[in-house]
Amino acid sequence: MEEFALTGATWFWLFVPMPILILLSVITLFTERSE
Amino acid sequence: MGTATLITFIIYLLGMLGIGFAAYKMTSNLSDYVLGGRRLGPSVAALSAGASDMSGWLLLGLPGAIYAAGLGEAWIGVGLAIGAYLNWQFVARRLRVYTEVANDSITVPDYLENRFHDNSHILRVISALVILLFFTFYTSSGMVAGAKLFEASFGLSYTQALWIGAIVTISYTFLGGFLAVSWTDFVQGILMFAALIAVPIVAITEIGGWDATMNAVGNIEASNLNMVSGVGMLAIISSMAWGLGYFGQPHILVRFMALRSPKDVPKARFIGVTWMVLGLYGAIFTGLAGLAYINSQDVGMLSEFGITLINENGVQMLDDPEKVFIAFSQVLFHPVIAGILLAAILSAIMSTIDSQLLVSSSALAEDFYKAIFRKQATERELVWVGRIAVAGIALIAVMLAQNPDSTVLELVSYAWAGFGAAFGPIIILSLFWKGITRNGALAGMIVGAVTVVVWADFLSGGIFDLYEIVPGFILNLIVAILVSLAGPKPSKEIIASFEEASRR
Repeated sequence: MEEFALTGATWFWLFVPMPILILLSVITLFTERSE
Repeated sequence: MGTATLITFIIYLLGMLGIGFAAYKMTSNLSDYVLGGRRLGPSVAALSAGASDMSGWLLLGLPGAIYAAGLGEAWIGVGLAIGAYLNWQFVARRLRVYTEVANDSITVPDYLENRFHDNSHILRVISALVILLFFTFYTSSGMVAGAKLFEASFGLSYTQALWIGAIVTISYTFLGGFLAVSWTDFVQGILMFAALIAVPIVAITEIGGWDATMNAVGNIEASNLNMVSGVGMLAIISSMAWGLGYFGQPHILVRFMALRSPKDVPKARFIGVTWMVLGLYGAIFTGLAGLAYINSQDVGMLSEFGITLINENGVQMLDDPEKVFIAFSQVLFHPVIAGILLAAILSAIMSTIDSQLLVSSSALAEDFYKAIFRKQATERELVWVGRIAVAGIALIAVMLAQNPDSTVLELVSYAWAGFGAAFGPIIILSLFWKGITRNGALAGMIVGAVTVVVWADFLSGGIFDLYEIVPGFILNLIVAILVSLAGPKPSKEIIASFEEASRR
């Protein structure tokens, strides 16, 4: 059985944009609350 | 289908009816019935927006697409998550504030009329007609999906499954209106989330962990693990463009309008975005794990649940990729848990249908009956008009869903694009640009809707294979701006309201 893993580009597009959205919603939770 | 699974399922259905009855007790006027009297807290608003948005597609279509074609199908998830985030970030708070400033508007057509001081009712009538047309087909497609699923799982006939699902959904929506829909959405959203987290974790663990799953999937077909190469640019843009649709979906926008306070938006946004992103990951990994598991394990018992296996070039596959989540729920879990997981799929379907039904009902009760025909109607009368409208629209949708091979399933992408392209740019411009005029909004809306129809139905090949929401959205935006700039400026009263909404 051959070994496989996600390529760098796939790993990036799958695991970077969506978690950034969660991160942004956490950051704005604190920045917008103080207004 | 075992007795334990069936009992779990019946408890779920009775729970939904109980919530409907509790909401009935708290509904006394039309604002309660169509907007919950703006009483939603951040967590209910967030999960209700998410569950209304995410139909059965999240547990059937998306895992099925990944199972059938690999990670190249994950782009739509990325596009949807970005769109939902931007909607919470830029539209939610302003729409909540402006709908209150604009004569306490309780529906999207109501807001458009009050935002532009449109005494002709033309914006209200056109937008209410668009809502009634698209949502009748949209709810009908949900009913077809639900009935097909439960026909197979419970050994019912298609018609029996259709009516049982429809009667439960209509009952709690009819009785409790927006509060019933939002509270059931909250419970349904939690069920969906729990199911989407549990299934892929248990499945990947059973396979032997992440690396073992990757190896098993790669050995079936290496391209399954590649999201980039072999996927065309046009396909990626079309998938991502689904995210453009959010700003115009009435069943999601009303969740923003129903928030208790604009101050709740940051918390609701965090809950809503986290729910959605983790749910999308759950769906994607369920599809991937399915490839590895179904091919390597003895899953012959699936035939008892109406799930057939085929052999494709030496690989054991599901005949219907969309049943990958159901297959896991039957082979990996105790029958009681399997019942909860099946209830989670029905939750995804019902939570979308009920919200769309209620928005359609409000278009009839608020935007036609109250605004045009019976301006002096009592609140009690209006609530009952809303209830009768729920039942009437639902019955039309059931009639359209009578045929399991019906083409209504294909109309979902069309309805999503129609709302996104007709309403989206106008909602954004009306919240952020004081220069937009009634005529600009009307022209943009019509051009956006016509572009979607022409692009989807009459043009094909090359660039015309791009998802129709892109040209519709862009042309609406351009036309709305140009027509607004060409005509007389908005009145002082309109500018004063805009500035009032911007200050809050």
